[in-house]
Amino acid sequence: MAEKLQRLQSFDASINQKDDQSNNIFDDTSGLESQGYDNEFVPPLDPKYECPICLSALRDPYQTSCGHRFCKGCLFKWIRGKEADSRCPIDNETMSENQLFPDNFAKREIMSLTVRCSNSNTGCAEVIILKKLQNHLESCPFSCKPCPNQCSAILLRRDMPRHLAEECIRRLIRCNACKDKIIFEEYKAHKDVCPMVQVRCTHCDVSLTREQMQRHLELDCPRAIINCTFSVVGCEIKMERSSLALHMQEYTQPHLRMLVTSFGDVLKVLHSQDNSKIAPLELPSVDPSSEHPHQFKRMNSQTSVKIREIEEMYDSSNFHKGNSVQNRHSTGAISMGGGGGGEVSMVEFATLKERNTYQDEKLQTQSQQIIELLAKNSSLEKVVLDQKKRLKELEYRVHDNDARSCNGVYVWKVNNYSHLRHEAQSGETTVIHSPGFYTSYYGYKLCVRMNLNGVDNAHGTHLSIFIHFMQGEYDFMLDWPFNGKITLSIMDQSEVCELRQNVTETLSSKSNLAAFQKPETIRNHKGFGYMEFAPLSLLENGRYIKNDTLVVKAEVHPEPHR
Amino acid sequence: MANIAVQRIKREFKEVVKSEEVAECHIQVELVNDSFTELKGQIAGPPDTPYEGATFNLEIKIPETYPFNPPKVKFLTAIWHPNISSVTGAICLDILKDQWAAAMTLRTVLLSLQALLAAAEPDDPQDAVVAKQYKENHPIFLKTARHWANIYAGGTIREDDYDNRVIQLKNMGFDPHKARVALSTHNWNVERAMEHILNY
Repeated sequence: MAEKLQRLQSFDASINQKDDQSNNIFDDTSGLESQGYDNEFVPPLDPKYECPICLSALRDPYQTSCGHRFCKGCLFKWIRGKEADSRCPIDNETMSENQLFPDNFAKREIMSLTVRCSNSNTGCAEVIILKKLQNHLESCPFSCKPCPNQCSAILLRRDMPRHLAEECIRRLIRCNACKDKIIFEEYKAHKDVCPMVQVRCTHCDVSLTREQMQRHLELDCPRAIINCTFSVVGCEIKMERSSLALHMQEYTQPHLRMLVTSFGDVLKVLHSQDNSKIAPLELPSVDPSSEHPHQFKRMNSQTSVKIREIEEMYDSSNFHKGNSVQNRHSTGAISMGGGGGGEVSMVEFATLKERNTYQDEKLQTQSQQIIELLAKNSSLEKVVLDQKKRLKELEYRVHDNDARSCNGVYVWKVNNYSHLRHEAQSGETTVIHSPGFYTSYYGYKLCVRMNLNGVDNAHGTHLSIFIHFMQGEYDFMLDWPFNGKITLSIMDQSEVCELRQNVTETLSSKSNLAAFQKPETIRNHKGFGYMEFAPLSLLENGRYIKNDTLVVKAEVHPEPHR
Repeated sequence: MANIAVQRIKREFKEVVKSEEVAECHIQVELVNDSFTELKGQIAGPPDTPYEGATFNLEIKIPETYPFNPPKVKFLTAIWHPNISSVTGAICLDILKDQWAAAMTLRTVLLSLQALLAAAEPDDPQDAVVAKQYKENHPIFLKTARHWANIYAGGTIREDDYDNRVIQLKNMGFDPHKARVALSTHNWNVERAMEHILNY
C-alpha cells in the first residue's frame, strides 16, 4: 500500500508537478496582513506613534524588549521572515517572539487621537477620534457603495435613496395595468406583453385587455379571418367570421362531398391498420382477403337478389304497358309508367328511397363522430406527450436531488461488471463514468471515472480510479481551486463484517493542478486519482465483486481555503 | 505590488522629498513609473573624497515584499570604488543584503551609500581590481577615482595626465571607455593597457 501511495500521481502527465514550496514569508501570516492606520490625523500624527515598518499609525502596537513599537502585523511578518535570527528592525538587538508584548497604553492613546473621515475626498468634513471611525464609516453619508440592485452604479450613501427611488434602472416599479412589480429597465418590453394592457382589435376596432384579445380573436371577433369549419376535411376557403353562416349554406353540397371522401379515407385507414379489431365493414372496396369473406359474399348475394327482384318488377310493369324502356334505372321513367302493377314497385321504391336517405343521414352522423374522435385522439396524444415530458423532468429532478443530498459520500454500484470488464479489455469501452454527485446541496459536482482495465502504465494490471470535477449550478459561489480531501474505496462485500477489507485511498487536493480548477466544460478533462488503484487480480478473488457488481465509494470533503 | 509596499514607498517618497538632505542637494529620489516599483536615486559625492562635486545616479527597484526585503540598488553612473563594480554598478553593502532591517528607508539607504563612498571597505570588495589598487597603490586609486568622477559624474577636478593617456590610446583607434578601464586596471601603464585591450 505504501508503495502505491508513493506512486500516487496525477493522471494528467502534462502538468509539471513541481511542488511549489516557495519561501514566501507571507504564507502562514495571512491573518496578520493588516498594516497601520493610514488615516489623516488632525493634528498630524506624532512620529512616536508611527510604525517604523509601514510608516503609518500603529495598529495593535507591540513593543520589543529594546523599547521599540511596531504594528503587530508588521512586526510578526518581519520576525517570521527571519526565522531563527530575528533582530529589532531599528537597533539590530536580538529579539524573539516571546519577548514581545502588546503595548496597550500606546494603543489607547492612538485610538483616542482625532482623524479626518476617510471620505473627506468625497465631501465628509467629519473629524472624529480613531476609535469611533469605523462606526462613523458604517453610516457616513459620503461612503461610496455599489447599488444594491446591482445596476453597476457606485454612489455616495447620501445619494442612494434618491437613486433607488428615481434613477436606478434596476428598481422595481408597479405596472399600471397588471399591478405586478417590474424592473424599470424591462418595463418597456413588459408593456408589449403585459396581459392586462388595453389593446385595440386589428379587425373590428374593439378595445380589450391583451389577455381577452386572444379569446376575442379566436372565438368572437366578427371580422377576424377564419378557416371554414370544414377545413379539416379539405375546404380551403377563408372568410370573416360573420360570413361563415352564408358560406355554410352555399357550400352544403361540396362540404358533403368532402365529408364523404374523407370518411371513406378514414375507414380505409382504420381498416387496413387493424383488421381484427374493426367490426365488419360493409364497403365494396374491402380487400377480399380479409377475415370476413363469408359476410361479404352473403351481403353480395343479398344485394344481387334484391337487384334481380327490382329488375323483374320493372320488366313486368313495362311489359304490361308495352313500352320499350330506354332507361330502366331512372326513377323518372318508373314514375312516368305509374299505374296498375307499377304502383307496387312505386311503394317499394319509396321505401328504398327512404332507407337510402336514412342511411345517408346515418353516414353523415358517423363521419361527424369519427372527426370528433380523431380530434379527441390527437388531443389525448398531446396530453400523453406532455406527461411523458413532465415525467422525464421529474425523474431528472429526483435523480438530481439524490445526487445533491448524498453530502459528498457517493456509492457507485457498477452492475454488469464482467461485461464492462470484457469491453474494457477488448478496447471497446475503456473508461466508465459515474453519474454526477454533489459535496452538498449547493456544493461541488463531481463524478468517479474508472478504467476497468487500467490506463497507461497500469494497462492490463490494475484498476484505475480518478475523480473528475463537473460543472455545477453553484460553481460561481464556490472556492476555486477546490481544496479538500477525497477518499476513494472499493468495498469488500464479504458476508462476515469482521473480515471485510475495503481498498481505500485518501488524497488531498493540489491547488496547482488543472483537475481542481473550476470546470470549463461539463466534465473537467483533467482528473485526479490513482492509475494503480488495485491490482486486477485482487478484484477477482471474489470479495469485491458479488452478483457481478463492483461497489465504489467516493467521499469528498471540501475544506475552507486558507 | 502588495499594498503595504506601495503605501510605504508613497510615504517615504514624501519623507525624502522634504528632508534636509534633499534641501542641501545631498540626495534625491524621483519616480520612474506610476506603480512605485522603480525609482531613480541620486547622491552627491561626499566632501574630502575623490568623489567630491560629482553626482551619481542610482537604479532602485522595489520588491513586492518591501520593506521586509531590501530594495535592489545599483549604480547607473560608472564609478571607481572597491565596493562597487566598475562594470555593472553592482554594490556590495551589507544593509542591501543580510543586514537589511524593515525600519530602514530609501533615505537611510541613500545616506548609507554616501557613507560608503566616504569610507570604502576594501576587505569586503565588489571589484577586486579596484580593491587591490586601493590597498597597494592608494595614491593612484585616489587619482583614478577622481578621474572617473570627473569624466562620468561631473566631478570638478581634472587629472590632466590621465586624460592625455586616454586620448593617446583613443587616437590610436581604441574606444575611450575601454581604454580608460584598461589604463585604470593597469595603474595607467600605457603598454600594459594596450596589451590588455588587444588580448581581450
